[in-house]
Amino acid sequence: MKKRMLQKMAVFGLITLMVGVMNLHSAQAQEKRDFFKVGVVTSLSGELVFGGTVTKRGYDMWADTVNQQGGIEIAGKKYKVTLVYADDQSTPATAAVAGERLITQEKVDFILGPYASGPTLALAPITEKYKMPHITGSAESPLIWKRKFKYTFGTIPSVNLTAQGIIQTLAQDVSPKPKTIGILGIDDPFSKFTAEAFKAASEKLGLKVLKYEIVPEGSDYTPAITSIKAVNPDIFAMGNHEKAAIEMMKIAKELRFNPKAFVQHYGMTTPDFRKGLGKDCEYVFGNAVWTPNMKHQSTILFKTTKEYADAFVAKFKTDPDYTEAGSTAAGIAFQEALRMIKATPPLTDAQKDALIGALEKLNIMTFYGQIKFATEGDSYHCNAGLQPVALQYQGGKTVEVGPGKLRTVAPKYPTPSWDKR
Amino acid sequence: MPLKNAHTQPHTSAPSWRWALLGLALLIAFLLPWPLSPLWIRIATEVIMWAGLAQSWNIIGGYTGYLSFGHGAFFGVGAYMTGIVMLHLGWPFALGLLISGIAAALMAVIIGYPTLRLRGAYFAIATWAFGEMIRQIATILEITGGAFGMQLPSYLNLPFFYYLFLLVTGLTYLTTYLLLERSPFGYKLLAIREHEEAAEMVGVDTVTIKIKAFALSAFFPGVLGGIYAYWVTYIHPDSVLGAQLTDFMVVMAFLGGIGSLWGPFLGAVVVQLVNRVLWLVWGEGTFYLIIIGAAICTVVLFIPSGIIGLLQSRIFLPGTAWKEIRKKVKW
Repeated sequence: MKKRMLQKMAVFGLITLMVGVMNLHSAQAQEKRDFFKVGVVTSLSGELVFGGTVTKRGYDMWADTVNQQGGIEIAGKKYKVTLVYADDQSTPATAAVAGERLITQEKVDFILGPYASGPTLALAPITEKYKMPHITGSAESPLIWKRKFKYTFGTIPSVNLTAQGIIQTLAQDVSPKPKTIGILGIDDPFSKFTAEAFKAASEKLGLKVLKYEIVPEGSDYTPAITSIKAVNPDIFAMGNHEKAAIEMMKIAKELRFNPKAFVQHYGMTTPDFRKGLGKDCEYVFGNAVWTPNMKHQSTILFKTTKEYADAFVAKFKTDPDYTEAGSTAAGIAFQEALRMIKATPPLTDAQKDALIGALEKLNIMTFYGQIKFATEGDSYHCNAGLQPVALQYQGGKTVEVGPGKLRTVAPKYPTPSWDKR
Repeated sequence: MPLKNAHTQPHTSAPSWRWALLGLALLIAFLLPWPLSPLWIRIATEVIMWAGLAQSWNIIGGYTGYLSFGHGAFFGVGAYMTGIVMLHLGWPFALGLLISGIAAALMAVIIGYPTLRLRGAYFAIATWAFGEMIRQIATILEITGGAFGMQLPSYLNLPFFYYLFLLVTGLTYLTTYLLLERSPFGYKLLAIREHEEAAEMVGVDTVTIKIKAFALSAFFPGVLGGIYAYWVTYIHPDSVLGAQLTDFMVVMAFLGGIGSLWGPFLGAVVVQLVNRVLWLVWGEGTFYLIIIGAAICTVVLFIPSGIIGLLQSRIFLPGTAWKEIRKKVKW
């Protein structure tokens, strides 16, 4: 029995020793290096893996292009970038562990943030604790900016601001003017914020909200769409992600629901939406802060929006959407802020603080549009440089139909009924 | 649900070396935050939290033999109660924890009263439906932040949360030991698990006993959920009321060995530590998830008595390993 006990204690001691060794590894002193080590926390597994992959493509696009050009030029010398990924497993708790790992073990210089708002809201206090600069190229929840985290920034304007563009276009720029709207949202943070933003914009612009429904994600959307069809609104607006966006349109077709306008937000800009619906995506309105068709010009990394879009298609064999562009732009924001303060790797704590100051002063034009982070108000540290644009599928691609001067093509309104397409 | 490989006999006094080992383990657990880096303190905190959750599930699933598939709801209720108490009422965190535990236990009594009259798959389905119901309610209520979730104040003190989780998880195990392994209450549960009709025939008020066990098994996840909310600072119906929470509790308890005191602890340590170590090594991809899944399937399929069953065998004695493996492993 004594022998057995000793053996058990030996196993126990071995485990303790292993933990100690792992800890020693993590406690290594900061190494000297001539490249920037960039931590990336995003969803590489779990239910948000689609979005995580989208952000990964955007971040990879930035890092690979920077490295192809020799690196970030600071005071006459070029420094390459290395991305160190940490999977947040689509959960806030793991996002916090991932942040802790990248900061304390990998000793990264700064962090590119998660796809979704939940993991971002759990990561932000960690970056705050370690005074680690962090830009999310994707998360859009207004909750992030309301907390006024000093070390967290975002390149995509919050969804409550962007969702207004399409409602404004439909309420003011089409004829005959629509008078009523039915809104269906899903109960995840992004989709519900989208639905709320549609509702707020409609009420502000004089549209009567006949029905406002929030339904659980993954449920059968048929009853909700049937109830909205029953009140016959001029506009049917949907707050959702890409998968539900396709499903809702298919259900609307099955039910022969014929509003004068179908309105989506994020989902309609993804290539999957076009592939999933085929010609049924035609006439669908949507919203974005960026499309590959835009004409932005820049001197940083990509000279034009088209150059970025072409490079992206060549690399990933698919069109970029605004989340991918926003993720690439997050990297560009960091590289320009680093140039401003002439910081070389590895960054010291003082340089990380200086980087925050530089990001707050940043005002640059990129392939993605203007990047200028708000320094006060409810959108604190969110990009205030972009204007939402209203989109519509015409001829199998998205075109800008408003609002106001942003229009490049007239909107096709009202949408023909399903049997007349 | 008879469990062939679980403990069926009341425990006799533990040998003194076991107490020495336990004392050593507690000492190491107490001293652990000193040498560990923040990352490893966080991982150790997670392991301890899961050990508490798996044991809580074990009270109803292992000792009582009633498989609850809605247990994550008690964790979520606790998380939201603490959030509401701190954010909306402005009361202290400690009070929030107490209210969280009581709220979860009360909810278990309310849910248990009708559902614990059901048996087998019916109870499992009823508790699963209850978990989903709570998730949907949290998604639509304004006080919970609905689909937007709830952001709690940040108190970024890793050792504080480590010790708090350690304390509550320690209490979970102490309660299990005293009430389920050492008291008539535990023997009644054992009787219910092994043969409920026979237990009724000898005068055990099975429904009341089961409701008490269910409430006890819900109290601790409620408190642990409250600590989790303050620790992670952001909660959402998907993160604290998702089905995967219960799945993890069940997997950990089964892997370690259900119906035993230390089985859920071992299961939690192995699953969470392997998960995190593989995540650290191969975190840039998702291959590690396949390894974890395969390992769990292997253990559940071939070693139904769990890790504790293997450890309690003579497998570690020289010359007996192969014989013991052949005996324990279900080929």
